[in-house]
Amino acid sequence: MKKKFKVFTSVLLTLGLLAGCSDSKSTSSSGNEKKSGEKVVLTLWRGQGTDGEEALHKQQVADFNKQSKEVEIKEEVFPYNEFTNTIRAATSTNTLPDIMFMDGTVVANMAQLDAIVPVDENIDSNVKTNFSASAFVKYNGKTYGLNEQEGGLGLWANKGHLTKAGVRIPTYEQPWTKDEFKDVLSKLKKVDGVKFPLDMKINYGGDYVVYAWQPIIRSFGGNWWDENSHKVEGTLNGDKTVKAYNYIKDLVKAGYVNNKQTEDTLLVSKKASLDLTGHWNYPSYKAALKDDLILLPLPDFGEGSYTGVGGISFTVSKAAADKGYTKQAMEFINFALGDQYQQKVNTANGSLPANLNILKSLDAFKPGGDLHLYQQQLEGKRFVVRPESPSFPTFQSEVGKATLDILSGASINKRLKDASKAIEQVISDNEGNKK
Amino acid sequence: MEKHRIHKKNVNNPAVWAFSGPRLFMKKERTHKQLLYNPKSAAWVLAAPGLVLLSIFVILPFLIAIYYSFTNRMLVQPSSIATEFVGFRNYLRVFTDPIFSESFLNNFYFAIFAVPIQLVLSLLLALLVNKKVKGISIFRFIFFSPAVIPMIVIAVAWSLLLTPGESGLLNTILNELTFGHFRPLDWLFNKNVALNGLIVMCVWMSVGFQMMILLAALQSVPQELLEAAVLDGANAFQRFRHVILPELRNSIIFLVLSSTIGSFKLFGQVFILTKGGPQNSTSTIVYMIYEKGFINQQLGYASAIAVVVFLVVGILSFIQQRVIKLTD
Repeated sequence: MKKKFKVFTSVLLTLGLLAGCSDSKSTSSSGNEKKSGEKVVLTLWRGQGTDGEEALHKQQVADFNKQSKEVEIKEEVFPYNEFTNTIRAATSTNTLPDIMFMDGTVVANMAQLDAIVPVDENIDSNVKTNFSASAFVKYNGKTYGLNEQEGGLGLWANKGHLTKAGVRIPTYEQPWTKDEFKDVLSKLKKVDGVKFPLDMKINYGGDYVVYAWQPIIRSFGGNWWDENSHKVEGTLNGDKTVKAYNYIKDLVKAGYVNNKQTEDTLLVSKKASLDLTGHWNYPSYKAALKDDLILLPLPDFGEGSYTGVGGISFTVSKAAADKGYTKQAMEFINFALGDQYQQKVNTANGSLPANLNILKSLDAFKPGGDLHLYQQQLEGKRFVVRPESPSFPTFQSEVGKATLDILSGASINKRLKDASKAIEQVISDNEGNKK
Repeated sequence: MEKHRIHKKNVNNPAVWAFSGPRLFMKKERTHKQLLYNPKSAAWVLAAPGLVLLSIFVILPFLIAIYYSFTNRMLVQPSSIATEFVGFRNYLRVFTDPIFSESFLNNFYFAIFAVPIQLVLSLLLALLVNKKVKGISIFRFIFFSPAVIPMIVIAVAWSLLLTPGESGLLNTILNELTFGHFRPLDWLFNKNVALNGLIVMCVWMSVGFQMMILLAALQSVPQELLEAAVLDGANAFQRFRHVILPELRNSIIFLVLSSTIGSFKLFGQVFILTKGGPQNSTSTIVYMIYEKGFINQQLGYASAIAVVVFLVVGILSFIQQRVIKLTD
């Protein structure tokens, strides 16, 4: 009897487990169809942010639901680091929600997978006219993602060190030139306590390179890929990119950059004078260096000085479009990108509101403000965009690995050629042979 | 005879009768019972839940991986590309990719050094903590503790220990211990040293667990055998070599097999600490599978690597078992 019972229960448990597996598919999408009263219910997915971001995003949804008579947004929040995997998994099981707030670098991939739809037609005129060009995330010429916020990238500097070294303080109009920069670094290296004057954040690892080094490479005239033809070979390993790498390698050889850096707080502890990071370090750096902290543009290595941009994008899923709810979804997105929320973006997480008018009106970004340079760069379109390619993760990983290899002694020409070949292979696998 | 008797006994058991309901279902009931009381079929029935899970979560995915390894399948298949057979394209890529052979050699190198070092160290530790001294359980606990710390914590801690240059913790310690003869290494930043750094860390991680297994085996060595050896005049080394070691044989075989296979599955440490660099010096096969399958989304290619690795590890384990049998 006992045996029988055991067999019975174990079979039951197994079946239960199996049933559990197959069940999960149907539940998550069913919420979309449901209507509460007369309202269309749309689901929004996003990754969990900091407390400030959470408050802002919850506010957007609550306010929208209060004022809209036709649409109701139901938000679901996921762990931030796993969010990209979450939406990829949902793509393969056709269980995507209606609206997603995803990293801008994933947009091209999702667009290519046909998981999201272009939204050009439904963008509000306020967004169209006032938002930075970098806020429109494109794939094949169409806008798929709208950024709420932008990043800023430049050199954080210790003003005390610069005056001690007796070097010119560069401006947006007049950044340091290629030769001037080497001279500046050699002078800064002599400042007391400074070992490696330029902190390139090697400790962030390879994944940071595709973002932080791109403005430098671009200033030499190179890039990760050709933005028009989308060819990698010939650009990533092209003469101009190779020249940029040679220049950086010279900086390492001269002892201006530590290629084995593991410390994160060199600028704050005054062991470095310049620091290649962006807006996210402003609060902690400001607290540590006070009035000694200044923001400088990257040097002009020949073809201008650039900053790096990037943000998290609102997108509308194919599922929503199939149900005919693109308009309703965009109604929410336009609302969330409205002025009253744009005004709060900077206080929420320190980033730049994508709306240039709002950006201009914030004290920190006004002339004389600590972050005025970011505003100038966005306004003047002096920014580079990371490859808007479905294979972006491969760019990130291959460029990062190649760079770290080069810093540890690999040949620049060969390593960049290998990387571009590897990326080309993935792109052709990923996109098939386009006819 | 025996079977029949059991069967009969149950048929006459009033409790079974009461439960099995009307006589009408008697025949069905009997086949049901035969299924359970026949040792062969009972084994299958009892193993069924496990087998079902195993086939769904291990065997089926593996068969699918074999299928995918012959196709152009991507992690999430774009609707514009049909899943097609591409013949041996993926396998051709595996064997022509220089990173694959480098990764493979890294795994071999890792296994050749890590497995014996782990074994010898853990055996020494086991012998040490087997001594009946007051407070020895504290040492057992300390040596075993790495086995219960999550790998990510260990990796982060070791990334600090392995800091390059003179200020690095491990460098400083080694320098002091050798009275300045040890020159600071760049550990994870130097392609000639990085893999050794990982080996040091992995040995530290797994020695405690292996020690525990050997300790259990040590404690089950019959006391009479040791006493007899003492009476025969065997010294400590002879007792270890001819009495203790043979008794540990099975545990050692288990440890060698499992840590060899473990060496070919090396991933977490690489993923957290080095991402395969510098210059592929710490790239491993499983890391490569991750990179191809999840970063590049080339599921077909990643599956092909997985199939090749499965075959190699299978053959290796087979050879190891043969060698062990021969030495028996």
